[in-house]
Amino acid sequence: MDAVSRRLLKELQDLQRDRASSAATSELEELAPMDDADLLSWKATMRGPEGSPYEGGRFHLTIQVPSNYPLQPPKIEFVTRVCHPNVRFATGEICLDILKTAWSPAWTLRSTCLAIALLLNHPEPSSPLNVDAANLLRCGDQLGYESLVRMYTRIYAMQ
Amino acid sequence: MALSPRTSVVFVPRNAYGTSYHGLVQIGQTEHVVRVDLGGTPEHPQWRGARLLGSSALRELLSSQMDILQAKLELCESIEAFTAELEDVLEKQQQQKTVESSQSAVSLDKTPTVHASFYAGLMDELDAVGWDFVFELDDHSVVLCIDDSSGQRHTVRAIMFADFPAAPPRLENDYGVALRVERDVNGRWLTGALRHMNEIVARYQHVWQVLRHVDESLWVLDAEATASLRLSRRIVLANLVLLELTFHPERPETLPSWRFLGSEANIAPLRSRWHANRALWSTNATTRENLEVLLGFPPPTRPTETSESGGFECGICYAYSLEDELTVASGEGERTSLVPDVLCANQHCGRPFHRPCLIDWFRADPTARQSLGVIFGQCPYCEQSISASTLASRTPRM
Ligand SMILES: [Zn+2]
Ligand SMILES: [Zn+2]
Repeated sequence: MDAVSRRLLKELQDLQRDRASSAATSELEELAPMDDADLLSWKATMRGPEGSPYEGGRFHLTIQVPSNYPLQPPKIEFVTRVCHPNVRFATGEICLDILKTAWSPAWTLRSTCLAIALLLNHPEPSSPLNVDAANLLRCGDQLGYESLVRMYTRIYAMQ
Repeated sequence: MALSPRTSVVFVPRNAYGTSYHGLVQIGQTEHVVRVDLGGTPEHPQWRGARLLGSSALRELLSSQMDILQAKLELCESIEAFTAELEDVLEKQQQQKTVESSQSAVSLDKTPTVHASFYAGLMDELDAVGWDFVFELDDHSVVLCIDDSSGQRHTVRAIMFADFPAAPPRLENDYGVALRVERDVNGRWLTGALRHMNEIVARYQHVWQVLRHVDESLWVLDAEATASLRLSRRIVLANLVLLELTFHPERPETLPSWRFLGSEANIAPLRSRWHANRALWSTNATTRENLEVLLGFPPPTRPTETSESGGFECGICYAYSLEDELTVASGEGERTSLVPDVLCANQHCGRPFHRPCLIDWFRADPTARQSLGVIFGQCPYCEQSISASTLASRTPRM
């Protein structure tokens, strides 16, 4: 078995072991390979963090694992439309340092997804992919930002 | 104990469309990887035009069969059908290889012609050895066995070539000890081999018993892989703390040479206690009892369910032992595997890494720097600086 599959299998085992203990508390509702035959494509579902304008939403993501993982980061995108300063609205592309330059093999698929969940609640308006949302935040219009997010969450993430 | 190399083939689809497969081919202890890419387009994949790709080691092993397999592949209609074809070819190849094995003068694609003198010679040898010592016999090899005083069975496998008994057999055992291949005074090969194996068993019986006890009573890393004359054992003492003991082959009950592995903060107190107590090592006690006295606590036993590597897996590939592909490809039936040997020096981290994994990561990390055969980078976990020699990375033994 190649090194990537071996590592991903270990990650999968760890996930299954931790599932029972952490499912209730984690924002990460689901993280699994798309199908058992291909360990390089995964899907994830996360819940909007409580107390955030994303609360109540369920967000789906796709994860493509490169063949030289964990030397290269996985490619993770939102499938569900998300209004967020660091997510490109049209494509779901995520701007997060660990998915690019700050990647390290110390990250797992799970911890990377948790970092994305964290980003949902803690946007970084200095490196925006969604200029409108970032501008609202930058101008200090927290109320305007939150109602915008809540609207999109209701439209796209609550079916 | 596998007496003949076992082969197995498993194919895993590489995508959801089933247009490409990774195959894991296991021959004995060695893993090979093949790839099957279907022809046609992703929407309309076709077996016609499918391509079989294999590592150079496997291509060499299959030699002329590779073309035949490629032709058969295009006629297959499912990966299951091709799996059966490949298994069939490997099975035959292995049978033939066992016969001809390392005799490089013998060409691989010729079936050996066995003369009547072969069987006459073999019968004569086995009569001389005594049939009680014959454990297994087929038309090209014989397994002789010796039971030691503790009831443990030791075997020697003699592989005969077509020109046996004119030409010597090849001798193998499970311990990696080279056996003398020479005729006895009556001109027979196997009696000499059995006598030599008896000497080896007598010489090492004691250390084997001690090692077996160690493997059973302590948490030894990769205990299954240590069936050879390897006298060292890596014993898990705590998470990320190992004790490596190397036993004396003739006096295994004496204090072995030792080395602690782990972060300095974790091992320093153990090392000083061990040092202070080392005169307490008793040649009458078991290794486990001695460890408890010298360490001041009972060493952990192997957990039944969870990970078997005591947290000592490589922080990059998550495996404990890393097969060294190059060595596997070049070594004659010999397998070396690397265990994580570079440790992060940060005492709060202490992560172990395989040197090759760390080097691969440093090469992918633009902040790492290389100079004079040493590559400098940061621990992927804590950013402590680590260096690794690139020279020794892929060639642990030459
Ligand atoms: Zn590794
Ligand atoms: Zn570290």
